[in-house]
Amino acid sequence: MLQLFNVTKIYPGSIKALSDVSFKVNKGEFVFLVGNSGAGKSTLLKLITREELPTHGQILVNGKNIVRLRGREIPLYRRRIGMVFQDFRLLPNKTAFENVAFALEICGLSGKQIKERSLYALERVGMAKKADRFPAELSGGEAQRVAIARAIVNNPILLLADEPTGNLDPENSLAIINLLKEINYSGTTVIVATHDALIVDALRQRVIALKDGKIVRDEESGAYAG
Amino acid sequence: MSLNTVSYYFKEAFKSIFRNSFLSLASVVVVFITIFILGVAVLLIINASYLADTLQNQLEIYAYLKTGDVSIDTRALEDKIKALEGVASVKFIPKEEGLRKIKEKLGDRADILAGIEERNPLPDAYLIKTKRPEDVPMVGKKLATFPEFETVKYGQGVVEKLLQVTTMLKIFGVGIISLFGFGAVLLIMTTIRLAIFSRRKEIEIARILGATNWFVRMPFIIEGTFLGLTGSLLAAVLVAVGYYSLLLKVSKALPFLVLFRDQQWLTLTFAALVGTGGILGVLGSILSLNKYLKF
Ligand SMILES: Nc1ncnc2c1ncn2[C@@H]1O[C@H](COP(=O)(O)OP(=O)(O)OP(=O)(O)O)[C@@H](O)[C@H]1O
Ligand SMILES: [Mg+2]
Repeated sequence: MLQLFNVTKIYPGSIKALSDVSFKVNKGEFVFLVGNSGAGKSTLLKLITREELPTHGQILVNGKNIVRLRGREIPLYRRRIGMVFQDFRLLPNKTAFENVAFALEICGLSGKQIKERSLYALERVGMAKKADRFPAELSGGEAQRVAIARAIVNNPILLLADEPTGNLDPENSLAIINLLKEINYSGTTVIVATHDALIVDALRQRVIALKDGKIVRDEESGAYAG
Repeated sequence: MSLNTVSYYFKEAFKSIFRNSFLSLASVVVVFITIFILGVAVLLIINASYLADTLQNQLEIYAYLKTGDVSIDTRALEDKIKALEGVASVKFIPKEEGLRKIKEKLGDRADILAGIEERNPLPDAYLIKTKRPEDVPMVGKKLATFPEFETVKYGQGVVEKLLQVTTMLKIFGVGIISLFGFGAVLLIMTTIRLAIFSRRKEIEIARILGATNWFVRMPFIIEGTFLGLTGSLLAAVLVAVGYYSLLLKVSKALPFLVLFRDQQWLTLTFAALVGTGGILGVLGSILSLNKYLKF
């Protein structure tokens, strides 16, 4: 479902963030992307969401080469990909419900559909009761749950999370990573970039380790440290 | 596009207008001034042209032949005048008819002409009409160079002055309106730029969630258009109220003054003024989006 072929990313100023990266992720897989700060994890995710273009190489998602997507096609492509961030990226002036609904408003859905699907997504992450709260009125773990609800409300084929537990205490981190695993059980392919050993070791899933932009390890049921 | 999306566009646009209320107000004021000046200038030009049009029928050229020169072939001369550029019609007026006209004008005091009638001192003349009022001076000057004519009379400079005023008004108008129009667009650009800036986080998130360019841009375009339309609507209303009350006063106090009153054209003019403000707004927001909202 996701295939990278010899992907290299060089940022302006000859900063080589990724060099000759190739791997394949099957549908329904759960993958940890680990590595030290600056290893290129975020860059890799940005290439998959088409926020950045690779300098060399090709990326296939569901058989489609996303490097060749035209500008008009990118929004439609992104609607099929869920994204979760370390800093949640919720809109502070919108309630939890409105934040989730925003993803559907963007797609031009009708009010009734937006309401049903947003509430269902909030239920899945256990936040239905706090749907009317603003982000400032939520704990970090709760805010991240709302962000996950927003990422899955469109039934994405692929869910990407960049350091989703980076701002959370260990207890909340484990709860969030279990939630992501639950979502993965229901069929969504999940890729989590992290340098949080706790969650990697707790789940024992496939681990792809990056170092200075290169893949140094790719193992099933791996741990954070090789 | 669902109703939801449309209401989102408008909600965001109005939130933004009130968030940057000072700049929004400044934009509205500058558009207002621009459209007000434009409106006044357009009405002045319309009225000047209308006056020129009305005068057109009265604007005729009289070319008087040299008296006593019997060698002139009046037929050939008439053809020569007709061949001039801008000439619509030529009519020969023999001196008898000229005298009769003067008598008509004098009415019951025509008896003062008694002695003169036998040896009519008037010259034969041509009455020339031009196709357009602005051709009168040109044709008149050409006729004056004909050796057959003693004097050529036309409009006593009225046309020339009227047209001069119109031209000056146009140049001056275009200059000042461009200046204010430019300022208005610049201010709207700044307002939209600030709006983009204060919503940049939301834009970034919307993009990640798969928002199209239009979805991101629409609220800003609506914001700019609304600012433009508000300014121009207020200006158009003021200009219209002013003009109609002028028409009312003039028709009572100075009924002979010709003012443009065609209802349909006036309505169209005021609508065009409002539309121009809207265009300034759209222009300002699109320029700003192209400059500050890179994809
Ligand atoms: N937009 C950019 N322009 C230039 N260089 C960049 C840009 N983004 C990232 N880099 C560089 O590319 C390299 C990889 O960065 P990246 O953010 O992918 O690392 P990371 O593995 O996500 O690190 P972290 O764990 O700290 O988030 C770093 O050297 C970084 O400085
Ligand atoms: Mg990173």
